[in-house]
Amino acid sequence: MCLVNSFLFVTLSLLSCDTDTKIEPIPGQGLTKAEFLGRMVVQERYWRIEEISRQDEDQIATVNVREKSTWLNSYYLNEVIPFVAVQFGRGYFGKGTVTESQMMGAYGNVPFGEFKCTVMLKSTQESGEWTWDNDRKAMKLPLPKSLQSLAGALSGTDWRPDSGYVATEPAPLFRGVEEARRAASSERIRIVAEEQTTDGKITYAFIMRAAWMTDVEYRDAEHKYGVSLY
Amino acid sequence: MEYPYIKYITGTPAINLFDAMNERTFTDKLFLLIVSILFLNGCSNYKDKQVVPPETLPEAIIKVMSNAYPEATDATFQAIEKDKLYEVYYKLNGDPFYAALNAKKILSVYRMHGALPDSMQQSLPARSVSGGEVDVYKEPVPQLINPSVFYARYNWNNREYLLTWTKYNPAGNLYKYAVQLEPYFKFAYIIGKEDLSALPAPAVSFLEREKLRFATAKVSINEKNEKEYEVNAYTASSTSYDFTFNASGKLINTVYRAEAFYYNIDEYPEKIQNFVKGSPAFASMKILEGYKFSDPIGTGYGITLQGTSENCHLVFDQDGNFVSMTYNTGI
Repeated sequence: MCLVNSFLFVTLSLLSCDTDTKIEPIPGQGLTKAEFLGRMVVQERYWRIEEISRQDEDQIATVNVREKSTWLNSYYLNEVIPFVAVQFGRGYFGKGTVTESQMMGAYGNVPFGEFKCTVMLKSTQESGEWTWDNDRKAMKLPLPKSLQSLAGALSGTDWRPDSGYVATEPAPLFRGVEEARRAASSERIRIVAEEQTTDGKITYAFIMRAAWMTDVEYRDAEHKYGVSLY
Repeated sequence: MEYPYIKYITGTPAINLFDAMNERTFTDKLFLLIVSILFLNGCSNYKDKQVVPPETLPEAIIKVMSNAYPEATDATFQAIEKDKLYEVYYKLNGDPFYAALNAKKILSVYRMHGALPDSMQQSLPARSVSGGEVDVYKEPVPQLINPSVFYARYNWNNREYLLTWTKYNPAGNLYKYAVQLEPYFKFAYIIGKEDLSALPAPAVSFLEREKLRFATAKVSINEKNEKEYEVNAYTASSTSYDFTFNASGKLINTVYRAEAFYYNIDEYPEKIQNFVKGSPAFASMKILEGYKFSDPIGTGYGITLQGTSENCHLVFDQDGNFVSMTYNTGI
C-alpha cells in the first residue's frame, strides 16, 4: 500500500511539472564572468540598502539600517539610506554604466513583498562606468556618492573611497521581473569598499537587495511611480 | 529587363479584370492577362507550389489592387498565403512595379529597376563585405523624401542580403550613403498592437508569460515565402526590447533576459569562436557587446562587432551555428 502511494505521488508530481515554460534560476556558485554580468546588468532592477557591515580583521559589526545605530547618525539613517537606489546598465567593450537615483519605498531587512515605490527622476546621476577586474575576478565600480559618504561616515575619517567591488557571492539570481515574481524571494549582492589603515584593512560591505520595478506610471516629469518586488 | 515570375502581356489594362469582378464570371476574354497563382499547400511546404485556376484569386484582393492602381497593366498575382497575402508584379505606364497586399490593403510597393545603374556602381558595399553580386535594384513607392532610400539584393558569402542605401544629406557628411545589409526579404510590413494575434502562438504566449506589452512588429517575407517577425515590446517598467521570432514562433534573437554578456571572443562556445576567428571579414573587428539569450522557446547568441567605419551584428543558434548577419557602413 505504501509502495502504491509512493508511486501515485511520484506520478502526480511528474504530471504537475510544467516542463515547457519552467525557468529555474541557477545558483550563483561557479558562474563565469559572462554569466555574472548577465545577472548583474538588468534595466528593471534597482539595488537598495538592506544592511551594512564593517569588518576589521575578525570583528564584524552589522548595522540594521532601520534601527538606531552607534555607527551611523540619524542623518544617514533617515536622509540617505532610505533613498539609495543603484542600477547597473549595459555598455560597450566590457564597460557599463552605474547610476544612482533617489527612490522612496521598501528598504532594509523586511520580508519579501510588493511595495509601492517612487523614483525621483531628476535625482538620477551617473556614477561612472563599471569594469571587470581580472585579478580579483570581480566587477569593479565607481562608488555612487551615497555609498561613498556612508563609507566615510562609518570610517569616522575623511576617507572617501572612489571605487568598490561587487563580491562574487552572493550573485544575483534573476534576470527579469517575472522570474523574481515567480520565485517570490529576495536576491542580494554585496558592494565592498576597503579602507587601508596603518593597522591593516577595514572592509565595509553594503548588502544590497534587489527592488524589481514594475507597473510603472509616469504621471509627471519628475516622478516614476510603480511597484517594487523587494 | 526580366524579373522572376513575371509574364508581361502588353496592352491589356488590368482595369478590365477589376470591372469584371462584379459580374462574378471570369471569362477567358477577361483573362487575356495571365493570372497565375501559386498557393501554399497547408501553409508550411512552400516548395509544394501548385498553379490553380485564376478563378480562385479572391475578389477582395482584386478590389484592393484595382482601387489602389486602376491603371495597372500586366498584373501577375502569386499567393503567399492563400486568400490572405498576395504579391503582384504589374506595370504602370510601362514601368515595372511590385506590390504586396492582403484582402484589406496594399502593404508594400516597389518600383523595380532590375540592374544596378552605373551611378550606383561606386556605392557598392566595400570594406569587409565587398565583392558580392548585386541585382533586383528597386526603390520604395512612394519614395521617401529626405532621406531617400534604394534597395537591392546582394549575394555575399553564399547568402542573400537586402542591401539598403540611405542617402545622406550632402552637407557636412563624409559619406554619400549609409549602407546596410540584412537577411534578404522581398517585402515587409508593420503591424501594431491591435494585431497581436497575427504573431505566431508561441510568441504571443511568451509575451503574456513575461508580461511584456506588445508595441509593433515588422513582418518580413523572404524568397521562400517564410515570415520572420521583429517584435518590439516593453516591460511594465517601460524598458523597450526587440525580439526576433521565426514563422513557427521560435525565438531567434533578443537581449531580453540575457543569460550572459561577452566582451571577448574566447568566452564564446568554440564553434562561434572558430566562425569569427576564421572569417576574413570579422576576425579583425572588436567586440562591442555579445550576449547569450535562453528561454524555453529559443536559445542562442548575439555579437556586435565594430571595425573601422563599419559594424555588424551576428546571431548564432543554440549549437553555435551561424544564423544571420546585419551590417552597417558608410560609402
